[in-house]
Amino acid sequence: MLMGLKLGGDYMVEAMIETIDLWYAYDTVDILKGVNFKAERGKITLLLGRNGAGKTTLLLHLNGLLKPIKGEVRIDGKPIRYDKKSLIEVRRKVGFVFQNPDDQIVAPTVWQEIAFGLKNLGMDDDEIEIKVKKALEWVGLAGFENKLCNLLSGGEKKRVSIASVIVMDPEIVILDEPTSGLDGFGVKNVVEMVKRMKEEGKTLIISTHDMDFAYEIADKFVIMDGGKIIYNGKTIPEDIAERCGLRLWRCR
Amino acid sequence: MHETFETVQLNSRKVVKGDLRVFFALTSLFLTVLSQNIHTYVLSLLIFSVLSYQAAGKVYLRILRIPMYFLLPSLFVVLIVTKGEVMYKLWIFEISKEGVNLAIITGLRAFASLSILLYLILTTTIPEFVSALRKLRVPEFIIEIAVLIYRCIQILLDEAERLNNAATSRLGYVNKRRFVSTAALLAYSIFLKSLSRSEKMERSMSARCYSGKMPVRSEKSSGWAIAILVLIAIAIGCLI
Repeated sequence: MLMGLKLGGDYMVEAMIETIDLWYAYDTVDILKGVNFKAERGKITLLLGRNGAGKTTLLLHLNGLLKPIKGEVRIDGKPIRYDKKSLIEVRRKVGFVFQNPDDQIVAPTVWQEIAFGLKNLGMDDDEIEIKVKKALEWVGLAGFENKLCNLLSGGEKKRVSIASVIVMDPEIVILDEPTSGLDGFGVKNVVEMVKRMKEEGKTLIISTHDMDFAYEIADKFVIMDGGKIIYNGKTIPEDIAERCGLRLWRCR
Repeated sequence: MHETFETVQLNSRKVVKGDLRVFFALTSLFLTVLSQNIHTYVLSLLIFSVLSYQAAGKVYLRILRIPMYFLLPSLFVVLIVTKGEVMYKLWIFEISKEGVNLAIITGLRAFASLSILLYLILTTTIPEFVSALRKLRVPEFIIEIAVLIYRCIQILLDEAERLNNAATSRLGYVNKRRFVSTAALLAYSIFLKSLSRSEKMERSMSARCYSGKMPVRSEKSSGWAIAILVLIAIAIGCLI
């Protein structure tokens, strides 16, 4: 494999996570039809496509939450195995921020929610205390430890859900439609956090319908339609955007 | 946002903090219930009414009103069914000296216990209570179940509120007939939603390597002086 070599005016960078001919079906309906996806180390890959294109299903495979009926997911070149021990390793490496924070929050208080992953990794209480404090400062929610999650605003819940993933220090962070339901301040906040994660060397895979957000942060666009990847590149061609219902700078 | 127990608990002023508050309230409750002395009841009632009022203000009185609806009729029954030397006769009811004594003792004991429990409820969130239980070496699986159930109730109430708003905004409760049909529909929808939410919750837990352990945090205990003084006062009350 050509790694880091200049090739046709572009760098071919080592793939951090990739899928090889991935197939998945709910009941008898094929959702993914031979997806070959690749996200490069330290880059932000934007996954775009209309509703029902298979974006979330693909993302769930990257964390080992779904098992493909055919094909494989590779992290650092190694295929994922689906036994309990291997999955823990995968999930330690790949963090997943769900679209709806209410679906992700499993604990009653902010502190418990952020400490949840660390406790599962078997960390001791002192270490958990330090890491949770840092994570809360990182997302700008210092002092929120004892607040109850169900009493937070939508933007605060989103920040808690991001903190609860980054506190586990994953190398790859997946964000499923992170700006949905957020106001302008909330979106700006997510943009800042995503940029900071990139600066810290994390590989990011983000699915979104928010094109302003996508243009602000993307290194690469991957467009899905009908369970397949139909485009992979650094810009979005207008004809493909039109075909896949992507809203560009003009309202469509 | 309307006021819930959770908001009251979070915003209440606390003179005794951390796990100590739970132990303090439970020990006081234990001493009060076991005591046979009327002084203990009066003392507990006074102390914990002051503490609860200081913590949550008028909310304490508002909540105290609810159990009173049950307690006062019960005391009336105690008053009239206790046999003894008749002091007063009202229609078919005979009130005896023993009945008055028993009703006063039962009433004071119940109100004293209630004031202690309300103090605990008004100042302590469920996660704080669970954290204190862990100090008492309650098995891990009970703590895990308690935390998860609490979170599930929060989710279920959120869903119920959303569905209720959706139904109300489209005149779901316009008449009695619609009320029954909407309530049935809502119950069914909540059941389905709870199934789907439980699936999502499980997925979210798996994504973070769920191992069956729920983190529990203890706040640093303070207010020892007040707690010890109150406990000593109640204990002396028991001995008088």
